Amino acid sequence: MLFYTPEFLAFSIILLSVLGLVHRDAPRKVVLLIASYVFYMWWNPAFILLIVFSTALNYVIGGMLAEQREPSRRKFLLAVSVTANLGLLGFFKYAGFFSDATLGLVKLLGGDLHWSIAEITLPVGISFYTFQAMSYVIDVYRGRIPSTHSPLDFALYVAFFPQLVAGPIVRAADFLPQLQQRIRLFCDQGTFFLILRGLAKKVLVADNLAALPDAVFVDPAAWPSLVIWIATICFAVQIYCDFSGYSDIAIGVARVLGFRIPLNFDHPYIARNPSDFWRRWHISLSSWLRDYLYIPLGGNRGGRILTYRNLMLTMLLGGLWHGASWNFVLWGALHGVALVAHRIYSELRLGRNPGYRPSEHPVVRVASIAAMQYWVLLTWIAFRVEDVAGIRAAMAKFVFFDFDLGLADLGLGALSFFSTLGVLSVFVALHAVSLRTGRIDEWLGRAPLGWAAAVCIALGAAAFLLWPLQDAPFIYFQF
Amino acid sequence: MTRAPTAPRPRRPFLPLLLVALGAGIALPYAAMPALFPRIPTDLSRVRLVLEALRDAARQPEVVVFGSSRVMSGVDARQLSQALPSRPLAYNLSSPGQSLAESYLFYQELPAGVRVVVQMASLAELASPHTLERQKFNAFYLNGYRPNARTREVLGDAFGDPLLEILDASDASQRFQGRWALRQLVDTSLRRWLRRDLTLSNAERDLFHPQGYTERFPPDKRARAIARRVKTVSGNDLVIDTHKKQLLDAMVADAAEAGRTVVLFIPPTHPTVHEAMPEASFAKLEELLAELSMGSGVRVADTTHVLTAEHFVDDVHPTNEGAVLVTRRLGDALAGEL
Repeated sequence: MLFYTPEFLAFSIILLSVLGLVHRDAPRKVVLLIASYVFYMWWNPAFILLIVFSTALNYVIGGMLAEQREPSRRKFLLAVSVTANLGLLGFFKYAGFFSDATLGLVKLLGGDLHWSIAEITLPVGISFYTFQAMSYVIDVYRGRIPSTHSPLDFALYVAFFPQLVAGPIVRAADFLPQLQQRIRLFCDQGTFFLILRGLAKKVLVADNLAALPDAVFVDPAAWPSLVIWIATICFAVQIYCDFSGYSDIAIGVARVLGFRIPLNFDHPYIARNPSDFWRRWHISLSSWLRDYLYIPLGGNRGGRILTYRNLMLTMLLGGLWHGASWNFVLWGALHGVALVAHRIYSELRLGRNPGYRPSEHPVVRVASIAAMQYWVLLTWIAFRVEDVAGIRAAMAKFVFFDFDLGLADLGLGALSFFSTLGVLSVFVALHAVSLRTGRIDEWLGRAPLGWAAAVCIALGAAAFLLWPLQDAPFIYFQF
Repeated sequence: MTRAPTAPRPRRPFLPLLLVALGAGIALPYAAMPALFPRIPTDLSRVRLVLEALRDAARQPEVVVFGSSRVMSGVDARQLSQALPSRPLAYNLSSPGQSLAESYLFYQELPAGVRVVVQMASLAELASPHTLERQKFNAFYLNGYRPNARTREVLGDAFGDPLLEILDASDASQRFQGRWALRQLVDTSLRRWLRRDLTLSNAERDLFHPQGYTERFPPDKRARAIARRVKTVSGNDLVIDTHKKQLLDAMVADAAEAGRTVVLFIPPTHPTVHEAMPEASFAKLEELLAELSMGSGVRVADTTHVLTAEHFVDDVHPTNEGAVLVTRRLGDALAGEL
């Protein structure tokens, strides 16, 4: 069930009506849990069993960890949970990938091995809810949170529908305490516009930009550098609007249901360096990887080389989290290289001048943003283009600009090339405005009702006229 | 992280008003679409021109020519008219990418005075499974076209439910689909500005020779276009689609029933491209045309080899000089008819 479909509208109306009739918290939680399961089962009813299994397993282990004092047994319980969670994820998401990789490796070493694995359907959102469930058990193990005694609360934490299939990844420490308080339905003008903002990002921007990169990256070698650049920028904005649009809607819908879930994006395309980028992009995943992977690996506590190793490993696995494909590994590796390079650079600067701070001079700021975003765009090519030859061709054209500027006769009309650039320009302008004036939804939340109504009329008309000609599911559903 | 704060009371009941405003925003373009659409210049604006020409009771053509941009460039209807003894009014009603099914949509609008229908029947079109795009029919619909029972029957018989689904889309759906025109407005306008070698507005106003090209491609660009085309056609045995043949049969039958002559027009092919095409496919086309021309009132105007490489703007479209030769051959095929 996609957020922008009539099904979801009907689902929301029914859910809010039922919640309006139920005033006590426990029945409201039951209603929310049933709604979350229905929401998930809309894609594939059978996979609800996986969520139920994951919920039961992690709830039981969390409870056992809370009662167990023996360190070795606690470790064992943690290992069981992590193995089971990663095992599920590995089976459904990575079995084919590792099978192919093994066969490839054997062939490379001169061996001859044959087997095949039937194609396994990837359960929607498995990467998200598995990470949520794991974080609960690890936090209970570390003693950071108490285990919950309520299976209902835990089940709702794992399956809460607004962020179930594409995040943000919520921590138990943030969510479970909210279930101890009264659940109040809540909607103000700001929340209304937050949801509309998310819908507009997804439907009006992301989906309207999709056709160009889709067409260009099928065969990057056939296009000049300028088109590769424009397609890459379109993809960068597309994936940002697609994913952050989903997050906006999820945060808004959760707020209507009386819950706060964390911010997932904070203007990533003004990041000045790799660390800054990962503090702004998919914040809930990057902080998860920091807390549950990078730090347990040793973080920056084991000296320079180990720190670099930990950064690279974290980003490689972060890349692999996005999908069972080498291009995601490459994407993670490129970001890992950037993080290591930035760390080396910072250490050198700090070594020479312990009081070093990056300059705030506008020229330096713009130059550092441009340099960072150049790298980010380059990495998006690895993310978007699936085959190695295509990645190589696109990156070569991106880096070595060919100055073939004759766009008009390239058959771009069929791709709505110029109107795509128009959509891109409108987005960039609105984004720039929001950087100067603060978030547009918050501003609209405070605006007089007449202004708000005028914006709604404009958005309604834009939705009618710019609704994409072809449906495109949220990109992050596949992860 | 904290729980959602206790809800402050909204100043006014904002939600119903904003939802109504959102609905009003959707309703506005929905209501305006039928009036707005014909005024938006797009690649399919020619559909409106053709429909208006066919519905103009004061000026009825006797000869009409249907086909794709190859016919737009290749046939000068004024020259054709002058080549015929009775100087009948002839219209070139071809349009970019006009398929057989799209041509047939126009047939129901033909005024009674039409005596000759020239229908392009290229090998590429007959071998292609492509029928009618949703967007193209949307341009017909929003220009006031509604398929009659015979059109539905013929196209339904030939191409089945997928095509009927396009023809039977509801009015609400057609209005919603019409949004593509807005994007095209941007693209068409900018392309007009960038493509100085094209006069795209000819398609919107010229009923005789809507040649869009003002000059030939430069040699290197022409060579690239030809190479691309050769790559596309070489080695592919072009098989005539049975559904297309069925439609062509129905088109010929309809024309015969209305007492009209049908001229099946084979457009010129660039010599280099022709060499790359499998000869067997042409033999099949000739066989089909021979079969069709057995019926009374059917003629064939084969211009495949009429032009040399110098007569092409690019890999498919004839120059104005080429159009003179092609139209002359078409006139010869019509000799004695008018």
